[in-house]
Amino acid sequence: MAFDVAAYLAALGHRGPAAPTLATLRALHHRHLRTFAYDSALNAGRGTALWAGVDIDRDAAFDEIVLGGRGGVCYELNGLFRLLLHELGFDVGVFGAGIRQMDGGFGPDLEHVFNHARLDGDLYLVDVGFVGPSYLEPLRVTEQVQEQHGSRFRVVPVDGYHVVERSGRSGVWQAVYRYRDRPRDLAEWQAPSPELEAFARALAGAGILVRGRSTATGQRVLIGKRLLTVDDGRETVRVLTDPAEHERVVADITGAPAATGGTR
Amino acid sequence: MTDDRIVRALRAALVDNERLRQENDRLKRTAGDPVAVVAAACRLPGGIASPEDLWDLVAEEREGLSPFPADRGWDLGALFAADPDRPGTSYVTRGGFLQDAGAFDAALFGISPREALAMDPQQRLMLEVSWEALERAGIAPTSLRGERAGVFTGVMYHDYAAGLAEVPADLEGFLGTGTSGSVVSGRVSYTLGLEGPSLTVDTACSSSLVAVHLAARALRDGECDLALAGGVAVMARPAPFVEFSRQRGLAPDGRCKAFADAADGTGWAEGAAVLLLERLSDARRNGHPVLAVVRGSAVNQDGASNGLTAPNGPSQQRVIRAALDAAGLAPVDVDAVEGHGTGTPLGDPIEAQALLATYGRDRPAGRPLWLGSLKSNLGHAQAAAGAAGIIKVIEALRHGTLPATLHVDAPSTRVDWADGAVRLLTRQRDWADPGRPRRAGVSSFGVSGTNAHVIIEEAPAPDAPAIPPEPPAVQPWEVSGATADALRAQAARLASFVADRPGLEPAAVAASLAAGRAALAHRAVVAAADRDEALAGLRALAAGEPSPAAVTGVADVEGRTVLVFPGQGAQWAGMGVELAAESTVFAAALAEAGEALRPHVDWTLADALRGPLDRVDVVQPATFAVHVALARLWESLGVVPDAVVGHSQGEIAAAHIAGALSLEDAARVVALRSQAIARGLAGRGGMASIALPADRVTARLARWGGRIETAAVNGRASVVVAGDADALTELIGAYEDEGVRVRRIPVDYASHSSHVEAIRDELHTVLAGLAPKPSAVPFYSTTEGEWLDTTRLGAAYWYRNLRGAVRFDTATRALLDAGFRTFVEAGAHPVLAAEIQDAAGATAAVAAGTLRRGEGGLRRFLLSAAALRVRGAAVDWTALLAGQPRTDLPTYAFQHRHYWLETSAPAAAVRPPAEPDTEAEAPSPLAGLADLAEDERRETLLEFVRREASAVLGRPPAEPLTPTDVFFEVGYVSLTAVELRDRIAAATGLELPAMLLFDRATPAELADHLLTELGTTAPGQE
Repeated sequence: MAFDVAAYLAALGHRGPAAPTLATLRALHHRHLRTFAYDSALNAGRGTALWAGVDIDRDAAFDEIVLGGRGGVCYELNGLFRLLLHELGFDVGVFGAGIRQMDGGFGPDLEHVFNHARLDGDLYLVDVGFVGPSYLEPLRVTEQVQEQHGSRFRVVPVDGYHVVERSGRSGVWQAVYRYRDRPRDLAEWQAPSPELEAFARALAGAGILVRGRSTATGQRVLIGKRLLTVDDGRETVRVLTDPAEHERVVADITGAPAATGGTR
Repeated sequence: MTDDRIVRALRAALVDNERLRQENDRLKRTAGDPVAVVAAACRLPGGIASPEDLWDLVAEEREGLSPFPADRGWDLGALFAADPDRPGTSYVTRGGFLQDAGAFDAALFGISPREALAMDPQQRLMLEVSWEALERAGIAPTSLRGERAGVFTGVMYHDYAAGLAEVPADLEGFLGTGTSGSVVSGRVSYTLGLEGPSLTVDTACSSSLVAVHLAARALRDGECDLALAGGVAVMARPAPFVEFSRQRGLAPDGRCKAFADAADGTGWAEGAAVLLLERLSDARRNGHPVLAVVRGSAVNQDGASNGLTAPNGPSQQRVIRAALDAAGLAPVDVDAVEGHGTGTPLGDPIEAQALLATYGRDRPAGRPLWLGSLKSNLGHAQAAAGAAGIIKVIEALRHGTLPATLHVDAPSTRVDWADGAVRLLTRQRDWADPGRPRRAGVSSFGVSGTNAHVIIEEAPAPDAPAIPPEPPAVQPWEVSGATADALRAQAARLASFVADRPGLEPAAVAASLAAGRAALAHRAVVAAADRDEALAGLRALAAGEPSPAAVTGVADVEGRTVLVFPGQGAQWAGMGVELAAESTVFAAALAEAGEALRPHVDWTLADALRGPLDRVDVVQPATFAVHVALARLWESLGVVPDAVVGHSQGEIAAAHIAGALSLEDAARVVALRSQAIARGLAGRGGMASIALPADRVTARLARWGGRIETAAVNGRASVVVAGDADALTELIGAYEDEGVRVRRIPVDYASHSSHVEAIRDELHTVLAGLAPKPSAVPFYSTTEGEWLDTTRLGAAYWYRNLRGAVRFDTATRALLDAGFRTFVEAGAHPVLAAEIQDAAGATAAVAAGTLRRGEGGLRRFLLSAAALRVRGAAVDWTALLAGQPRTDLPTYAFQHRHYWLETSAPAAAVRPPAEPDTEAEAPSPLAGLADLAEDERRETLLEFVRREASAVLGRPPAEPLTPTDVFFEVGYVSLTAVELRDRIAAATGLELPAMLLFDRATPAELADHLLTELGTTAPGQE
């Protein structure tokens, strides 16, 4: 089936009008994160050419993800959502980000594909293709602290980048990712980049799968066997060493869209 | 009225009089028993964490003010404005704040981090400060469970988490108790199990002094026997500054200029202060230190004064006079007053006039009342101020010095100082001996009108200390912590404390540690003969390094205790000789056993123990005597058996210790039976031990057609056989050829075989007339393989004990199944402990020997006792150290983390810094890996991973991660996960992903992964 706004909104469980307002954007953003899982397993067959498909085939992706219910990676989920927002009349564009790595540094600038939207003179970050923990609703670009579901966010300028920072109930501010305040053209990802290639090689070598899905009040992030659950800003970590439980949780996260309200 | 009736009436009156006299005596007795301060502890501004710190600050005339705290979520950017009329702002920028008021050791008190976060920091502070106060009195804080100890706590702030817009879901259910004022005192009682009165007092700034007054009354009334009294004030929100800014009540520079002409308002401060109070007679009897005496106290109210919050001079005079009356003193009997002195231009003059009108009167020339206030140093610590003032007075008494009160440009001109003899302590003065006990009053006045005055008196001279007994040659120094880190920190604290005090008596330290500190989960014992050895052991503990003088462990063993008596084979020439010289308990028990043997033998025990121990009729009785005496020594340390078990001849000692056989009967059995063996069995056979399962050995023995029999089954793969000497030689040779571990036991007879039948009748004859009794302690028979009615321990049993196989493995399993968990092998050398530990498997059980071959002194005994103690056994050192003097010791090394609900400050990392990398030049830990067999490679890799993983977390090497510990559940976070990846990558040369530990979740999984990865790559190569 070809890309279809009404079917998309229905899949998201959105009822009523969808005028290009902040309220609509908020609702759709959160619902998108809850409806469609992030699933890096889909990268497994892509070798180091992780970004070859950044410019998605809208109809195929729509079919597989929105209707088929499989998860997706950043440019698929954000690509579909960007198309939807555009159709609804939002002023949207693409950003590229480097995600905070485990050692505290950042990945390459184009590692992560996400969106922005301009509304009433404000710039919002729009990202439904990131495993998290991150923002569940669009984030206004400002240094002021914005609270969402128990977590706090701010966007601070550092060394020519904008850094999205998050703090849970524990109170520690940590970077989520950094981006340059420059709308990107999807063609930028097709230029050869040794930096991106090396990064992709390391990722592929690791073979560690990343999956996640949001809930009404937080997110579940399963990296390898480590399950991070954020709920109302509180983070708990469990390591699923029991293969049966691991399988159950994977199924739970990547399975058909969860009923609203979460599964716990 | 007839004469008769008059006589009856007079008699009744006399009886009444007697009753009244007795009642009066009782009242006088308790009322006359002064209340002693036996310890004090505090946290106050300026980083003050102890009364000593407080004195240093006061004596050096320093201040404790600081800028507003940045770790409480206060909007410091918007809080300050010079304009006192600007709403929501403070014109003061400094205060007497507690440094890191959110710091707390939740693990020590068994409180989850979640609940700790929901707890008012005032509750947390009072837990820690109360713990310290008890420790400073030499009382193990965990020892008061069920005691009549009271808690009286002044609290006035109830604003923690008050600004929370909504209660975070996982804190629901905690915040109610977490922020309740009553729980500040109640939680201390609950956590320590105290059952005396527990109450929270809120009379605002007089709260802690009123609490002390109530506690002293409760002690005098006999309502409790010990009382924690004090107060706490933490400002969770800046509201007090904002509120008083509008009233212009704060000194712009934050300083309380008590009683000075320059006084321009008060300065808010915080604090926690706790006094431990006890009736003086009890304190003396219990050997607690007496720091000072609460001589008298009083509380009253301003009543309908000029205004709800206005101080009332006449009421202040009355409360001072009431306290003097309660103390039975006149104004001239008191030398100084620690004034309320908040630095307000109106309040201070009223207080000074009241002092002039009371203490200022009727004083001889040159003996004015000296006046000062701690608030000039720290600011006004509000609900903690009065108790802090008492601590200042106690320290002043100890040092014989009245410290200066600060910021007095000139005595306030609003006071008519000529009205009486009251002088300000504008400089420090000697507190000269007034020819009677030194005394000082302490005042606190609450904003709601409740006034309190307490008179503190110098402690009476202590009784001359008794001359302590000779200390033991080696002493156990026990330290513990709720966590491994706390244990290390505690050892470090104690080491530096002892190092700084060369005059400290080691036995006093050991005794004070044993009696005055809680035994927490992570334990260590240093067995030291002197100070240097103790210091070396403590420093090794602090560094997490092994030391021959130290034993460490986690007290995870819960269950009953078995004394295990080995049979022959534990003996060695010289056993018990050294211990007899070092332990009077052991020496006495040994002598008694020797005496019991004497009628039956032609040698003396003392000579026999020195060797050569080459005759069965010497070896067995001598071993028996040593084992019985060791059991008595264990009992003296509180290791009393809940059951006994013996191996072969060990059953004789077991029967005696259980109470089934008298020492005389037991000595007879062991002496006469060993003589029968020597006469009838010696030279005819032999015995051998084989490291194989019993069924495999039994099958093998068939070939010799009964000439060799199974004599004992000690464990899973530990069997003893006995039989004809030539057959045995063949068997040993065959096993040796097959590489089986087999060892000939150096005896020339075959116990537990058919050989024994030759002396059956003789044994029945010589052992006739034994009088076995029912035993108080259950006896598990390794002869019968079951619990035994000990009245059956007659001659026939002792024959069967020698004839039948020893079923020690059956006994071990039965005892473990019945819940016995502590196994103490009362032997000269451990021969069974390892079998028991092996049988216990993963069950939390501990098996320890007593002495060792060549190590037969008190040191080895104490190290064995320590091995039990650190695992949780009820070893009590106090008997060993009875009569030794007590000394002050460092208090608990709290492992602080920051908990604050409204703050954005990161939680404090408690991870100790990783050890510096001193192994840079060392060869690769995995060198030679490729040459090993696969299971050895895995083992090596696993050890390597566990060691590295522990090092990254800063754990001591003695506590590596277990193979199944989950990295992210034992403290790993992203950064440390990368660090471990880096270490492993460097050592193996493998390219490993940063997220390695996300998939390889445990050391075992990681080791398996490395094994696979290295299978295709040699170590150290790309």
